Amino acid sequence: MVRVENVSKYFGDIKAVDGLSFEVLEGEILGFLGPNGAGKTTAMRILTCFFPPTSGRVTVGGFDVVKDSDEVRRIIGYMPEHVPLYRDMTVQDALDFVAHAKGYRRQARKRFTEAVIEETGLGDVRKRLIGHLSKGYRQRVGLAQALIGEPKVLILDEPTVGLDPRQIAEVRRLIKNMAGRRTVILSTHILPEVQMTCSRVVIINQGKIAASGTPQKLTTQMRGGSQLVLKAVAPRGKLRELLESLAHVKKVKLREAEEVPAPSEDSETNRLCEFLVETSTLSPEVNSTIAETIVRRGWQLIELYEVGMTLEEIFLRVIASDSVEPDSSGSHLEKLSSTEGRA
Amino acid sequence: MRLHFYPIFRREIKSYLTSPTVYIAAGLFLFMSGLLFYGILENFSLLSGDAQYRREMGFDKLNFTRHVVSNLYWVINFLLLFVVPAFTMRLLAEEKKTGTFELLVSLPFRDWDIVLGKFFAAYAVLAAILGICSYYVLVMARFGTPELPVVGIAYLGSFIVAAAYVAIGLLASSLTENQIVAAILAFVILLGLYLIGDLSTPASAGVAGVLQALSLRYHSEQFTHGLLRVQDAGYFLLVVAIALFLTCRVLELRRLRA
Repeated sequence: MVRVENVSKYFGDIKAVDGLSFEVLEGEILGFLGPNGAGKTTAMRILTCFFPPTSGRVTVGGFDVVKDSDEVRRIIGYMPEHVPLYRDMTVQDALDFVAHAKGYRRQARKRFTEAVIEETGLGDVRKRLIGHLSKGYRQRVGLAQALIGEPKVLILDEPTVGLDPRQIAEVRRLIKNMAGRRTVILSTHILPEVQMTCSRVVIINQGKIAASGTPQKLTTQMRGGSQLVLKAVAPRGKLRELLESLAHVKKVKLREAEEVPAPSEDSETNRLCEFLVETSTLSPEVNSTIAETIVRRGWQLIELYEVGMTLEEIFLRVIASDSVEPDSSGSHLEKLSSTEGRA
Repeated sequence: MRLHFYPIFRREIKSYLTSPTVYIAAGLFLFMSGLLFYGILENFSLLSGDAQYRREMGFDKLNFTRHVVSNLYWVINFLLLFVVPAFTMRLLAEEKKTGTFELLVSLPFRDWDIVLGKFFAAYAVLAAILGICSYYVLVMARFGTPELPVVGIAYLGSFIVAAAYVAIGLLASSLTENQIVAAILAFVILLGLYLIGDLSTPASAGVAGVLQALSLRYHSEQFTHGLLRVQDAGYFLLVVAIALFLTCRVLELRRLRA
């Protein structure tokens, strides 16, 4: 649906976007992640025909953003970071204007406006002046403007900035509901947002793609293994030894810091203990091996589950590795070229 | 070239109709022109009662056209210099300040569409206000004997002059994010073009001729005298075209540097 090929954008000598390539499939929600100033907004502005790329090619729905910018702009809905609103218009009029601009006739405009007001829950304020609305409502009007005319591609630049937690949840729910129906590109530096709403993530730093993939995939790739939480009633010392002896187990860590073992305590007593097990493989066989071993010994297995690395960790790791050794930034990640389009 | 400026035109007109600035500016314009019109008429009636003056001036009949019609439209054209910047200042400056320019650009408009939509909207509002001035014609016809062709040309001239003013105001508005700066800039450009012909010194006739040819005042005064000449109308249309073209270029450049 959206294809970005080797796109660069310079402002004078400043490189805002540097050789960016990615693809977004129809119905996918792509999280565009990066620290402030990474080039997210620039990339989005290229996608929305605000300015052309210095080099490279971008197509949206098969249309080139430079040559067929009218067609592109007709099929995208864009919500910029600073939500642009005509404060002297009513909600209804503003939405009608956007529909009009996209070339729809009166009847269609009315239908679209109604549909969008319904979808974004603006019914109560439809006749109010936008300048008189609260921040949350304004953000929703911005989203409504982007949604007018059932755009095939929705581009949202930090859609939840400045909202209260309830409103954030609402906006995220709205976006999540679009999965499968619309192609969405969502930029943010709020990581849980990506985890909650996106089917795929592109992390961008200093104008380049630093990592990409599904949130889960990124997690495991970054660590090169999975992390398990194990809760069992067993003699602590023995369990530990046993775990460490298993294949693919890299590291075993006791989790309950408050239950410092008394020196007198012998390692034979069965007691509740919790371990954090890091493995060197992604295959779930390790899990079953661990479970089997414990049960065979007659110990009680209470819980065994995998914990994902949070995107925060990934993000910080990617950004850090980038600034230290820019050229090998993605070395321990699957390189973008091999993941794109197949995620 | 496909033109798609009607949505912008429509939005802009609505926005004008809800803007207090517009009503204040329009009110001031109508008040000032009405007051001066009254002054012109009163002056004329005093003159016409003054036989002495008539004899000294060497004509039997006072020239109503010269004393009333020309003066009235001169006054209107002059007042427009002050009023138009108030109408045009927000056109693009506000869009940029509030960020709605980014919305416009993400919609399927070309730069031309934005510029023309804004230009025609401001011009339509101004033309409507000039339309209200048509009651001056009725007043003149009721109390005097104006030469209607002259009135028609002078009146038409005001509409043509206003178009050039609006285009320059729009250009000024594209250059800044601050409405007040846009208004002052528009006024300075307009006043400069208005007075440029008066800079001419008798020293060099060539320069004087060029300056006069550039002068808003010179060309607009031809209309007020009842003269409809191609070069005057052409001058104003050229000013409109150049100002709108430059506005498009400014939008494009600002976008590339954004």
